[in-house]
Amino acid sequence: MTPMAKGGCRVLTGRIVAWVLSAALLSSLAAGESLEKRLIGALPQGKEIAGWTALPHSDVYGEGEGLTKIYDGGYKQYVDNGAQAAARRVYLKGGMTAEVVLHYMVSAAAANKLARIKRAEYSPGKVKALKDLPRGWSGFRAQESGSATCCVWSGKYLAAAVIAGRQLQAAAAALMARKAVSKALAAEKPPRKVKTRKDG
Amino acid sequence: MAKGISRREFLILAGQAGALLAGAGVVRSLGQSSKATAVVPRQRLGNPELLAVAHGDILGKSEREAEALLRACLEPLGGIKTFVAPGSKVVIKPNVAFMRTPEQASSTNPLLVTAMATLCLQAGPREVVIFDHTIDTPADVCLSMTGMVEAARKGKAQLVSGHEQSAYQQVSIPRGRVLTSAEVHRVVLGADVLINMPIAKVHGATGATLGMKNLMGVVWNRGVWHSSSSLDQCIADFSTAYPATLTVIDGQRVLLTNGPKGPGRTEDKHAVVAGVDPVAVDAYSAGLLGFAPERVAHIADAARMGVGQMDLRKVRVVKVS
Repeated sequence: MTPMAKGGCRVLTGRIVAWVLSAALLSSLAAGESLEKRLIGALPQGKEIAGWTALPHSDVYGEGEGLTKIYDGGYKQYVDNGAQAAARRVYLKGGMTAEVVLHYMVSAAAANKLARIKRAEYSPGKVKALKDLPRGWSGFRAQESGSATCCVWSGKYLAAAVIAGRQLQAAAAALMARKAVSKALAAEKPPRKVKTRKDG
Repeated sequence: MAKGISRREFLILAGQAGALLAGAGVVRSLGQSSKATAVVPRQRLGNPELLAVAHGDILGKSEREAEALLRACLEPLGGIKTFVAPGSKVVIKPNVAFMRTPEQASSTNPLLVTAMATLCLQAGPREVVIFDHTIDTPADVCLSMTGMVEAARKGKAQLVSGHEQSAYQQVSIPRGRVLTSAEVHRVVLGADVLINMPIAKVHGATGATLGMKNLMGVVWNRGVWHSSSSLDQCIADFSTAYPATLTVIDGQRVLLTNGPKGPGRTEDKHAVVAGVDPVAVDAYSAGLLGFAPERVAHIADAARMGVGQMDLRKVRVVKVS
């Protein structure tokens, strides 16, 4: 990993920790929340990724065959490998465009399998595993033909961030993908019962 | 000079003929709506037994170089004037489905689209339109990111985005085995000349997306095709009713994995393939992706239905460089 990417990952880790703590406050919304709301809600807000702006009207959600809204005919690969639903948002920064897609899989094993399939779609020399990830997380980044892609997964959630433009920013792609998975996982946890004196 | 009646005149006559046929009970069910217009395959211009393949690297080069390569590619087919008559309305249909840059090889190279618009204008048409119904939204960002906004500006063409459902018209597909009707954009229906300009790339559902698959972008509801019993058959069905006047495949940089959206592994083939037989063009171009044409089901389906020739031994391939 290049020094710049290492530095980016260190910053990234700090931001993720802060984000997970604040995202825990959202956990009270988990009960009864639709999958659509949960996935869309987990996509990073523009202000969470320094310098990037979320593109208005770019949110797309799909379940099963509805993934055609994101992938057109390519949806079959995702559905056939266990993707139940996905949400997508686009971000802009200068002359660059980023797209984040957060998938909800049938199982953690399915997330692992799909990630392996996606990783194999890049030239071997252009893919590297992501390091400095929390325990239970996996990820890779790839830079090929004018784009930086980062794929991160944990549990049933798999997020992919693609950045295209004059300047490839692998670290930013990693940050976006990690935020999406982190927020989704945090939203799944039940609210912690806060002990009061009456509880003893 | 373009031979035969114009495509638009043909479709108008076909519609009238279809109405007569429908009255006689010959045209089958018009699908979802009884307002669907019946259509018969239009007359082809140019020689369907001829394929032209040009090799030359225009990636990152100038509009002039792209125009020179495209002109050289069309020369064996008789040049652009074989297809575009003075006063005609030309619609160019690139593949602009996703928010990807030209480098990512998910959309047609904008240099080639500009070149095609420029060549068409030299033949004296009334209007040149660049059209697509993008999958990614917002459409304006998609059209900008893929370079199509700039391509239209440089090519002095009108850019039309197909995101208004009211602009579509229900048409029947009489020979369709799975797809018997579709909502097609009126800009495409009103074209005298339809130039299909896809990029060659792999596709998660059909194996490859080339010319015939690219025409899925002229309909409103692609979901109907995806949820049907056979997407490949729908593609072939549609090609029986709406083959393009001319198909030009962008094989400059092809997407070899993670198609159709990408990103994925690409390869620079530096090729442009052109022809009037949509099956032959697709059959040849499948080779750019490493596929034998019979492995792409909709190419085989369309050949069986008589849309065109899949056996490249029966087609004359002229290579220019």
